[in-house]
Amino acid sequence: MSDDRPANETGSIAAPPSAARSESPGVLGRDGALSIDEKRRRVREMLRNAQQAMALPAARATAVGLDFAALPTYAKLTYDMASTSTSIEHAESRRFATWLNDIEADGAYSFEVPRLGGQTPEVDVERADGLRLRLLNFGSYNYLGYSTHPEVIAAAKAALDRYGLGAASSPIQSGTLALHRELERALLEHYGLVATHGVSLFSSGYGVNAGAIPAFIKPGQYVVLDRSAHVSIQEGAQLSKAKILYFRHNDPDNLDAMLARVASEQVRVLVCTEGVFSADGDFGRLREMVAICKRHGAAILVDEAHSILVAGEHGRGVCEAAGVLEDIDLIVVTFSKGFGAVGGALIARRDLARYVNWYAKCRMFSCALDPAVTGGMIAVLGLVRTADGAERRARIRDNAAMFRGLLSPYVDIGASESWIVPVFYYRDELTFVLNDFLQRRGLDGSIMQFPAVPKNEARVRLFVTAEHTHEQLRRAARIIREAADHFGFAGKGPR
Amino acid sequence: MIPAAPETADTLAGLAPTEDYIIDEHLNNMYEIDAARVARLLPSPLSPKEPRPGTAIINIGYMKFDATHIGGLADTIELTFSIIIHPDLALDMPMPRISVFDLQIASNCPVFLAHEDEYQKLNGMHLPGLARELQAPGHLRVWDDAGPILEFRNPNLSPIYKYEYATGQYVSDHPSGLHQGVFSWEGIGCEQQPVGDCGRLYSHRFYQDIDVGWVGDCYLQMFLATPGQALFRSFNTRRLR
Repeated sequence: MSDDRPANETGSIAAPPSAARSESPGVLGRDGALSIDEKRRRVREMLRNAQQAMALPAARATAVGLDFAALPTYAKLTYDMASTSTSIEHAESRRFATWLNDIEADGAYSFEVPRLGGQTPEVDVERADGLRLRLLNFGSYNYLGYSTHPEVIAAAKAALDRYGLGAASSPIQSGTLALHRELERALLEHYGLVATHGVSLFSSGYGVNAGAIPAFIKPGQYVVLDRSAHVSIQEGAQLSKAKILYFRHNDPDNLDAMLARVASEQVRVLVCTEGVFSADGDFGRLREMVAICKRHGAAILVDEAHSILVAGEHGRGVCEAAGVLEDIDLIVVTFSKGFGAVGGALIARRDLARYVNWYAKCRMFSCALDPAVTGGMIAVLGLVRTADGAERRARIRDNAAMFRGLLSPYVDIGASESWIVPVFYYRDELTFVLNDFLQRRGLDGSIMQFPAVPKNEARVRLFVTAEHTHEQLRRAARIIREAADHFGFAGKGPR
Repeated sequence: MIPAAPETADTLAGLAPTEDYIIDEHLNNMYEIDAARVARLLPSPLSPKEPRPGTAIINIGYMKFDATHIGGLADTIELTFSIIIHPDLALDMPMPRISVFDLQIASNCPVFLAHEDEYQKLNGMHLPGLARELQAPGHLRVWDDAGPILEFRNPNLSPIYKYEYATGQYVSDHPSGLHQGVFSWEGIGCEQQPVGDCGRLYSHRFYQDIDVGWVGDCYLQMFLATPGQALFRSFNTRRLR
């Protein structure tokens, strides 16, 4: 960024002996050069001066009084630092508590803020200090608005009345309800895969990857992941105890090279990628990936968490849009985004789906999906097949295009081509103050910083929905522009 | 606003300082490597930090010290080879920015190595003919009489430099026992995760049991602007066992 001056502008202070001749006694060493103590003092002074210069680096920051050096210590820490410790006592929890306490004491803790109602385009929230705010909701993924749709709510209530609060058992044992079968059938009909495929329902979207990947791939085999793959995919790979390789994000050539590297071992290989990547909002290059997997005899998993019901002509995801739906071995969908609910499913060849039902441990040893959510999702699948679904899909795409257009001249939105629009603010240490700033201006987004994304590629993700009005999109864009001016991330900065 | 002066930190984690080093040139490149290849090198209770499951990180560090420093050579060079590990958060010190298990240090200066062995409990390797060529910031070649050791390249044309005061931890398996040490660092550097050509490591005895052919992509780069200087304060070590 232009507000970071290289240190060499401040110069090096290691003075040559000739420069030291005019120094006072004691400053010089025996050979007439600067003494080591004097050098230390001067290096420290140079660093202090440079730090001061960096604190007020550019006109735009100076104008708003933003002093990067004055940011509190908590702003410079990152989540991974407090993640674990080798100490006998659980020192990490104490460290983490201290960190959060410092943020809260500063009135800047803007995470885990309870919403006072459903996930509508504008929401009322109440922060821990009692501060109530009305926020433009760009932080939830109720993409099509079905979470609060009256017909969906009515169907959920009807299911609740008939089946009760919970399924109260594992789906393998006594937890499978007629309603679950209905949902499985509706999903296959939605995909047009009734004749060949099966569905394995999970009570958590995270659980689909954490359960299905270890059911599919075993120790001694390979899982090859996109570097930006969701953590649930990474954890599923880890649980499989297979060998894990990573290919560069959305890079078919690098995937090709990885698969070529392990080809001689002649073992099962599963490649994992996504329909829409949640950190960047770009689409997976599925056509190329599928071709490469076929050539190497590798299976492919596509996580359509952020694209199910939204992408593709019929809402079958990016696989549909790319024309590879029937070439995918494992399609992972979650219900928390396009459905506005919770849970997830694996859609695969029928025998494979049935195998996963039994061998995905986190499915077998978890309670089945709850009835109200299941009933609501069946209603969603009914709606998306009608004109209502087509209209909502068209609306979210139009809204996303408009929003990207509003933002891209002023801030860096990276490679976004979808309804996930990341706005890069780069500097990790801005996370807490920026999120607080945005909320106080009336905007709720979703922050990502290192280690979830590369260092100095911190971003706030904004999830556009079909429900946002043009006025709300414009208002959100204005707040982002204001923040960009205030925090100095306007324009296209270095990545 | 100037933060609390780190020079007043006379102790860190309850340990007294041993040395203040002035570093003229300092570059670190961290590389991804299969966690299984390094986990076996770590004594209990250490474990490798995995930024992604199955992927550990090794750190290759390069430092050239001010000429007035230990050993008195005009170009006292130190190379470090370590594994990034989980920290000991129970120590009374600021949250460590980095925690490493030092496998090896190397230098062209036997006096420097003897000092590090005595005070920092670091295993040293004398590399005759150790030399370097530092070009633009982040660009470095290092070799010795036996041949090339490393080449660091910075693919980012616009590196961001920031003033940093940071603390770190290290563990060393020294002939006198397993030791834990801490340090502080103050300087203006760039820390980045670049995309592109970050150079390479050459097969060399410095890397001991690690076959550099298995080292993956560069995970993180850290380097000073050129010219630039940093202060590195080391402290007494604590014997773990």
